Amino acid sequence: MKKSVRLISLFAIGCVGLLASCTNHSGITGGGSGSGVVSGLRAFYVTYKGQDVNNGDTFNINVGEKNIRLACHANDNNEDITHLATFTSSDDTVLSISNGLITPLKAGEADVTITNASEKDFSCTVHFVVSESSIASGVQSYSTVDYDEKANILGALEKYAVDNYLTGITLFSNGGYVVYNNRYKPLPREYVSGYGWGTMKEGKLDSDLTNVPENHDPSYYQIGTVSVAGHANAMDASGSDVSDIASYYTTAYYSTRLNASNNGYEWYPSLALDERPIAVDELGNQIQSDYNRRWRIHVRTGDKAPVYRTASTATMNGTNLSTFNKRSVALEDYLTPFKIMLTSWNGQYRGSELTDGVSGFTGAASYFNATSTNPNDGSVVDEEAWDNLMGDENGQLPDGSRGNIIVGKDEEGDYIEFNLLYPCTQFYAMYYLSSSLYSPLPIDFVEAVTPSNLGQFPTGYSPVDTFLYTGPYYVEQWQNGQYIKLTRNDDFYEYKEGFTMSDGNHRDVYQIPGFEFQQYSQKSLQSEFETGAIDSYAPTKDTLVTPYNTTTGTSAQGVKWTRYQTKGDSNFKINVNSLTPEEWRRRFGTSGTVYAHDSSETSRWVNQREDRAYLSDKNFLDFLSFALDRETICTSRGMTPTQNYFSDNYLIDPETGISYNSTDAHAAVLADRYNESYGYSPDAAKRALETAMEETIIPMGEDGKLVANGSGQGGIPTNPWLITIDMNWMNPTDEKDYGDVFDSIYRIFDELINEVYGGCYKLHINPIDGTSDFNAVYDLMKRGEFDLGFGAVSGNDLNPLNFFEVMKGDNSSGFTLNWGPDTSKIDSEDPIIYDGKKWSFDGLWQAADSAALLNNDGTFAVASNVSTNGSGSIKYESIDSKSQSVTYRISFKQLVDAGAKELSLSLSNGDATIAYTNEQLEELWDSNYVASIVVDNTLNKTRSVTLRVSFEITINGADGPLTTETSSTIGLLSYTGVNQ
Amino acid sequence: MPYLLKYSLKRIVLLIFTTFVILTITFFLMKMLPDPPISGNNVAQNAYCQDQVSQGYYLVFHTEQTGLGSTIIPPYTDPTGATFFYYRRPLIDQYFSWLTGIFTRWEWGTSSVIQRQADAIYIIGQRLVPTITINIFALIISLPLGFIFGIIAALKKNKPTDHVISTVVMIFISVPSFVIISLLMLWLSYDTGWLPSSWPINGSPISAYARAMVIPVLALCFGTIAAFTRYTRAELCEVMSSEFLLLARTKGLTKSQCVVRHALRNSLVPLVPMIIGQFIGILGGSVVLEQLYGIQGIGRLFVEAINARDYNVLLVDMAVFTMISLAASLLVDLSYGIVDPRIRMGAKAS
Repeated sequence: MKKSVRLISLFAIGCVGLLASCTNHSGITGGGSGSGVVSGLRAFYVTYKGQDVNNGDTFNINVGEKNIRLACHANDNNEDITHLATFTSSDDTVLSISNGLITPLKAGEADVTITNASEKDFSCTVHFVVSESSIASGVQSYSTVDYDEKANILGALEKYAVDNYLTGITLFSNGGYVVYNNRYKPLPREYVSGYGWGTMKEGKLDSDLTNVPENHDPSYYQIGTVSVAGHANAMDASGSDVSDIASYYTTAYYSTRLNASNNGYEWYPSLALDERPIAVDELGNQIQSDYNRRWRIHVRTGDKAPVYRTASTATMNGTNLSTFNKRSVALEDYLTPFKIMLTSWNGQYRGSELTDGVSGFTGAASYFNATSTNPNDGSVVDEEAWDNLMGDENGQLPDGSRGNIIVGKDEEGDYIEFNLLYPCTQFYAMYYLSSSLYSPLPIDFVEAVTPSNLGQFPTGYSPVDTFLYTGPYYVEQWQNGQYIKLTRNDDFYEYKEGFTMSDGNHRDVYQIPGFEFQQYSQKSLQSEFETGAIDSYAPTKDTLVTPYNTTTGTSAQGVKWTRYQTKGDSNFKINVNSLTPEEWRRRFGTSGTVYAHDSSETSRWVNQREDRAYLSDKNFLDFLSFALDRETICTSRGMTPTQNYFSDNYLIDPETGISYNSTDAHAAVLADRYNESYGYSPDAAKRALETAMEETIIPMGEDGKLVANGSGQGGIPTNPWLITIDMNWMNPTDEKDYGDVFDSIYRIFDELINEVYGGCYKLHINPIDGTSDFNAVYDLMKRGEFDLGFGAVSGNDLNPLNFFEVMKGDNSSGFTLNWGPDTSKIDSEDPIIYDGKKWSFDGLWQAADSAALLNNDGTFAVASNVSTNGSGSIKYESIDSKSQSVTYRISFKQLVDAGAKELSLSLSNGDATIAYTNEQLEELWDSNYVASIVVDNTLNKTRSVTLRVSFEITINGADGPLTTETSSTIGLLSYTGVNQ
Repeated sequence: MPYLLKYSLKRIVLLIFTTFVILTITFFLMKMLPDPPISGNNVAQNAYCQDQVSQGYYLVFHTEQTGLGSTIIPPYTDPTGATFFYYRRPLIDQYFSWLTGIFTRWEWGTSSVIQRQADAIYIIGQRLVPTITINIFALIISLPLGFIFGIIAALKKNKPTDHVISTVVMIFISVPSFVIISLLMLWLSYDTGWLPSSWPINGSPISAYARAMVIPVLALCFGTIAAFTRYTRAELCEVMSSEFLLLARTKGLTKSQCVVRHALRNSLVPLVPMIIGQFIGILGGSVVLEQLYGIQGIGRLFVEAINARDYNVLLVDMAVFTMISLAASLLVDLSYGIVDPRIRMGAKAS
């Protein structure tokens, strides 16, 4: 019997092999079972960096390069079966390979042969030429490469970040379950990552709720929340609570909606009339370009214009606010949000974001700087400065060139036009310009209400009065901290017109007549849902056990519900502070480059870094990471365990919807981190801990740096040394809800210590509860005042490479939560290798995001103050008390050597500016590109002066060389400042 | 009764002075607390500090100063290069600036966190009504019920009725009001749906407020009723055993006549000051209740202001609490004269 089974199997294999040989994939062919998954008997193909590999292909790689992975995919279903293959290197001294991950060791050549585990006929050989890498220097830019290459760059950056714990230790994705009252049925069958259930736009309610609180409308969608947004103005909001609710009542040039199949989302024009932004040249002519800085969008005006809605009947500063109700949006209203945010005396929190970065606007920084002093005449914009720096009513600057944010009219209608700081693709132009912050407003309304009161609760008013609404809903009632009522704007154009989908069908939208947000305590949310007072509820760990352990049910009060699974859009992590005492002092000390603490706080935290030096040991961090049993932690909570830094909705190719997590580049990052068990490996954890013990912890004990658990002699089983770590939670209940995440860490620690170290060490993770303000823990992390911190930061999910700015050690993004090695320098032990070059993290990121100008050692080329006199931290060359001026020696050598052209310079204190053109600089500087720059008495009103060197660099654009402008700044002192 | 008027005026002046002293102590105690970290990035921190400067609590310079301690936030340099150094204004300066605002302009400052730009007095005004209403209703209901149960317990002393009442009293004195409100919400709102589970929003009809008041008022009442019952019983039992009551009985008065005309009146005198204590206790207890039931009252505001270090709102809130308590104390003192003609507050000893 057995013999016959064997024969039949072999026959089946032969048939399938015959079929497989007809596939397009070369490399491994010739065998495999036709059905099921039988280990080692499946035909597969090989890929390298996302591309198919043919037998005999040759690739160039560099010594030290990471993320080089050969992946094997099953022919039948493309499943990654790399772990079933055998890899051998022809020369282990040149490169080694394990589970597909290649480690180039020295210059040379070697072959890698991939064979199936049990069938020697399966083989594929790939040839690698390994070279030494040079240091990346000069002008470097990868901003125009395709999405596949961006994935590889991001993979290289991510590998470095993960290995050095700049990404923290990921725990889980924030997806989970939600239960809805059966009167609401989501349109998509599955949760759409990056979009949600489409409740606001595509949602419908079948009936009224039965038990809404008094004065609530049962036909409205009822939302129970622990905290209600504090105001209505997203332009002045630091958290996401306001911007989340602003999506109900604001509009954007482009928006997203469910696609025709209800299984994904698509972009569509909303305020815009064009399907996509139109590229224009510097003369305003439309051009065909996939990569441009200047973009035009035709907008809704006239009979297509949206209308403002307000429920206010109040008068403010002599203006009857009800007169704005149902007023049409005018063309100039589209400029207002930019004017309000960029006029820095208005104090709008989000204003400075428009002045730099990939979504910043040319000229915005200068205008922002020029408007720091409020004239206190009630004006909300400096019209003269706006005309001079951003564009006048004719769309021009004083020199006749085209303005930077302008409105106008052409043969296709009214438009708004933007000149971005950096060129981008049409898709990203659409994405960057689709912020609800840019929702139009009439300037006279803002003048009546005043910017500081916009959307707020000044005495006697509420956001019903102090904001105007253009979106699908408007605010009818807003009680501070308790309740918000949003009523549908029946004049909203999308509601009136509906959508014509790609399959030709019409879809009505905004069918829900309104939304009501009611504040409840956390404990009462479940009861409110079960009595029919609110429409949805997110079950906790306990309530998932009962009563929400089934897909449908009925509460004791007769409310029928259905449970749905959501996918996470943010991965929660344990963020890590692994700074050495020296690095902590450099970034957060009294002269901290990121944040300055006073001397007593500096001492406190530097001492803590010294006392907890194990947190700077990568082996100890590896122990923590590999000892986390994510699967067990998540299963009981209905969450998704993951090691990924990005959640699945971060798309490396936003146009076709490819998630970065699905790429080979990302797979290579986690290839050596036990991803099949979500990073959990007790053996690896013990090995890492043992190394940390030998290299760091035991020496600390010998140096007297460790504290014993009790009094008396420490380091003995009855009085072990304490390994203390503070864990900062976000919310007051987090320790109770998530404290068990450390159970496996404690267990593995104790096992090893008892086994090898006689129980002489004890781990103590000290929980520090969060407060009612969840932002508090983020503030601590941003200031380096923690060991471990719980939280997540989410951002630009359509450009994960850009979002990776949060890894940079200079906190340029403002949201760096993890602290580790200095990312501005090439890591001598573990450099990032990409494209045959060695990079610092910051350098490669900058080159990929826009462009980087690098010195020969890989650091950024900057202008520098090389003066030698003076006792303060800012040196000068000489001072002249007669003319009340200060002279500095400024070196431009790094910039020139790295490839900067057309350098110009401005000295400014916000009040006055001194400028040097390129010709003037060239006359001033010597053969070493060092020039004497005078800060004269026109700048003496303030102590500090900013020197900004602007220059051009030429990068390789998609259509050929592309010149772009960037700058470097130095802080100097005026004569007043020097003498103080 | 001129002496009563004189006494009342004296007490009012004392009330104002006491309030002033309490607020001064609160001001200094709050200001002496370490500054909490100011949330947000450096731009947000700078904006907060600018607001505090305008409120008179911080000082700002463009150069580093000596003798003012360390800066509140690291020196902030704005995009123009101007640097701002923020220091705490000396406490005395802050205090006099605050006092000057109150006495010369009746300005108690604006809220810097809870409701930015809004006057602190305005915020209190919005939140005062629900708290006072609930507390007064709680007192109105507790007083007579407490007396009645106390009288019954005293008259049925050592009988089963007395034991039952005493046991129930013990339970309700022990259980805090926030536990009671949670139980009431579970039973009366979530299980049965008879009453709402949270305070109604602005614009709701009176009937909605009336229904919404039931649970918080009940929660506040139970403890107060229990306290009044216990004290009434104790005082009445003591008076009932006094000799003058025995005389009244021997003179031929019925038991109820004795109790009503003589015993009760005498037992009320020590009970009257209890009313203030209970009222203040109710006022304090409503702080937690308001959070649980979503009442936008001054109790909840007090907690929010402390957490947010919104000093102006906190001080106004404190002033309100203080003045209400002291005013209640004055009213009760004045009522002694009605309860016991022998006591005339302010009268000279004869």
